[in-house]
Amino acid sequence: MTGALIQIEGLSYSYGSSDRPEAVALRDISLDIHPGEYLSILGHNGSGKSTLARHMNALLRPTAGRVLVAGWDTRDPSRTVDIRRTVGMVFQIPDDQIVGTIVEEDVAFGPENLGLAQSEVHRRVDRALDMVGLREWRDVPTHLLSPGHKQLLAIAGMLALGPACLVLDEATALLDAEGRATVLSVLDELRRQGLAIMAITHVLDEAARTDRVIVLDEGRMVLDEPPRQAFSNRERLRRLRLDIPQVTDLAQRLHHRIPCIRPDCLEVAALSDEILEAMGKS
Amino acid sequence: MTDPIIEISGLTHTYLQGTPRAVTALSDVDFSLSLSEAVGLVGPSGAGKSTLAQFCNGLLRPAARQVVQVAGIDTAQSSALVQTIHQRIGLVFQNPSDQLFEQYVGDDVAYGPRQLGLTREQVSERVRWALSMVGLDFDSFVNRFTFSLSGGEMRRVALAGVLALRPDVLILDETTAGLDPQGRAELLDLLSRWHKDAGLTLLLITTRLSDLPDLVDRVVVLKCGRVALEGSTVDVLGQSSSLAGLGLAAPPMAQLSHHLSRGGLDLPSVPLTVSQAEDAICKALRP
Amino acid sequence: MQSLETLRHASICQYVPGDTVIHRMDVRVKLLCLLSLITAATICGSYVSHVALLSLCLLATASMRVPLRRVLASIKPALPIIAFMSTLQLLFHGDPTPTDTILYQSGIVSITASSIRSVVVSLSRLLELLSLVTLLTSAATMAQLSHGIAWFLRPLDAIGLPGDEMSLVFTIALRFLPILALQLETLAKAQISRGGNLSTRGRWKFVGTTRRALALVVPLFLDAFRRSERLAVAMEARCCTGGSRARRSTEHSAWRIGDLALTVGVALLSLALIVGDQIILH
Repeated sequence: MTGALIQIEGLSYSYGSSDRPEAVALRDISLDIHPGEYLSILGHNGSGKSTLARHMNALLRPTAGRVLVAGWDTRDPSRTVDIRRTVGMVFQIPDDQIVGTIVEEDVAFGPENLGLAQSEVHRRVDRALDMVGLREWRDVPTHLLSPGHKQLLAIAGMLALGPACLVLDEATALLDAEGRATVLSVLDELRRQGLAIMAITHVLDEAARTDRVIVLDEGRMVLDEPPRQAFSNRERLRRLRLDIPQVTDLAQRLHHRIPCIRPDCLEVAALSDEILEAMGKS
Repeated sequence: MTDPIIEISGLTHTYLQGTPRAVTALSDVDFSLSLSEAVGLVGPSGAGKSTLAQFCNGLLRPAARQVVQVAGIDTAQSSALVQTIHQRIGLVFQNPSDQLFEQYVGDDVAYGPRQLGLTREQVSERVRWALSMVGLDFDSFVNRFTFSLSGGEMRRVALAGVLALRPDVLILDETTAGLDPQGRAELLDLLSRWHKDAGLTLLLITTRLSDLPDLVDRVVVLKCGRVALEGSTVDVLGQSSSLAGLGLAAPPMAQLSHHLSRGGLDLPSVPLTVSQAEDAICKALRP
Repeated sequence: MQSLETLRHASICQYVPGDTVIHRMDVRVKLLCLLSLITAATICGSYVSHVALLSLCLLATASMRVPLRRVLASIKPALPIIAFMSTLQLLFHGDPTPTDTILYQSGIVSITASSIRSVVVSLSRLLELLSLVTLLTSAATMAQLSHGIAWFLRPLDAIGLPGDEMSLVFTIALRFLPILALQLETLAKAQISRGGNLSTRGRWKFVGTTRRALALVVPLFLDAFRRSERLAVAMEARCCTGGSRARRSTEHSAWRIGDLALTVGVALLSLALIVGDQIILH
């Protein structure tokens, strides 16, 4: 319990309106996220992934249960700014989170909202641009960036607030392979610097790189395991309207026929090595 | 091989030509599509895929004559003739919300047939047929508000709207982007059935190469407005290093095959699906 | 559909990099001069003042190397309406004053010297306005423009109005104009792809065209609302609560003598034109 960055206790959330019956989005979720963790949240469309994410930075507040970020309760309005400085969020559609007309201006938006002195704002902007590799792009108009770079810009904008955790809500869904690779390599660098990262994603290969896979189904948390275990049972995931990475699927099938091949490979290179080793033996 | 329904040769297109902001979207592109084919058009974002697609259905017209022929019509000609192309070549855009503009589902799907000047009975028949093709029940959906539909339902209605024209060719511009695994599988399955059972010609534009195996026969790769690679699906998707150099990721099975051959195990052909890989590897290890 | 593409690309982002006199002017000077000249153009009603104004505008346009046809191209879509309105103005100017020369009269229709003048002056005003705005957008980037407007709105903070928020709104609106133009283009293309004919062929097709154009407006509005909602969430996630923003006070250097002289000079010129105009007319 202690040392957890984010503590979610019995979180339930429903959004009802006067002319609609209560629609329950989240049911009794309890979860701890620790500093430096790298986890992914999977779930079919409508399972509540994005809703859960928005509770982490007080964009939404629980209907029941509570969410503590660095010890602060998200329902406490006086702590909202502190919470949002601690947990940053990057969204799916690159254009719809960029405010500034040039890169530098957009990254400065966050620190300016905190009312910091100009010199401090500049310092943070510089540092954030360095962390994502956009230093030379500081004067570039934002509409000229590729989608991948726009997402880097969004990340920089959050980093300028100095968060301990970054939540990515399907942030790579609309990117091509190159854009995705760029974003992932920046995330790896951020992890090295101790940032906790939570990736909400449909891309199974991305989930496979994380340390912890959490699966939501109809608003409930149904799985919380490392990827090797989470992906070990294809049927279970298919019932949850998900799937496993193709590499893992192949590894499992090969394992049935050639037992010396491990069934829990998550990456192409790992499985390739297993197969070559098996070839060497035969 | 029948005459291609779409024939493009040496197409070059520059936006805002003559202004300081001119951007060359396509350079000297050759492309053809024959009926009953299924072709994948891939490339990184900004490669010119959507631009090419819009030449294929007459939305964009070339400056020079004889460069783009669609359904026998030289699209550099007057726009009156070009309008008939829309009935034969359907184009589905990425976002369903960009394509729905009527209040009711039935009206939206009926838009295309009505523009064709069909009778009320014919229009109704088309709407019924189109909705059934996308797996939506006519009676429960025809009077629903388009803007109250779920994402998946909107996507199906948008597809139905284009299908209702009964086109010979269906062009899908990044229609799988942002879909969850189930949605993606369902869409690809639908497309596969339309192609294989109903003989619908497909042009699938995507940045995700793993959409293509089992669906398309041929792949064309665009990069910076030029054709960088083309060939059969197996040939193109098997070239992991070339694809990587173009900023694309080959499907996982193709990447695996590439790793294996670097380690000394050559498979007879590049597997594109998990089943193909399973069979090929087992054979290789236990001959 | 090349016209659609042109609409999107040639809308607000018309900035043409260069090093002309006008480029080098401080953006506030540009805005103030624009304001003075537009005021003069609006108030003046005599041939002489408009000859002077028009020559000034055309001279400035030429010196900026902005092709005149770009200015004229922006009028093209509105030509039928302009022709219609001008005809109305010509024929139904109202009862002629005693000093007026009547060239033709039949019932309520009359063509007088003053009606001719009002038509000519209106057309001249239109040209002046267009060339001035084209000049401004060619010589100032979006970023500069939004900074300039922010500077003008700043005094509002002192009287309790949300000047800072308004300039933020303006910046964002500017930024999203090309995005919405692209969205409109996509919507139009989707309609055309399903057989909708949006081209204006034939004089009386505008009824059908208007109906089809209206069909685009609803989805465009919905798209704009969805985007603004997403953007608002993203801004909230970056601690934007309204009110406590730090000022970007370092963007503008102090006024140079040249800038001051130019602003005052243009203001005086406009004043002279207005005064002269009043004298000529009465």
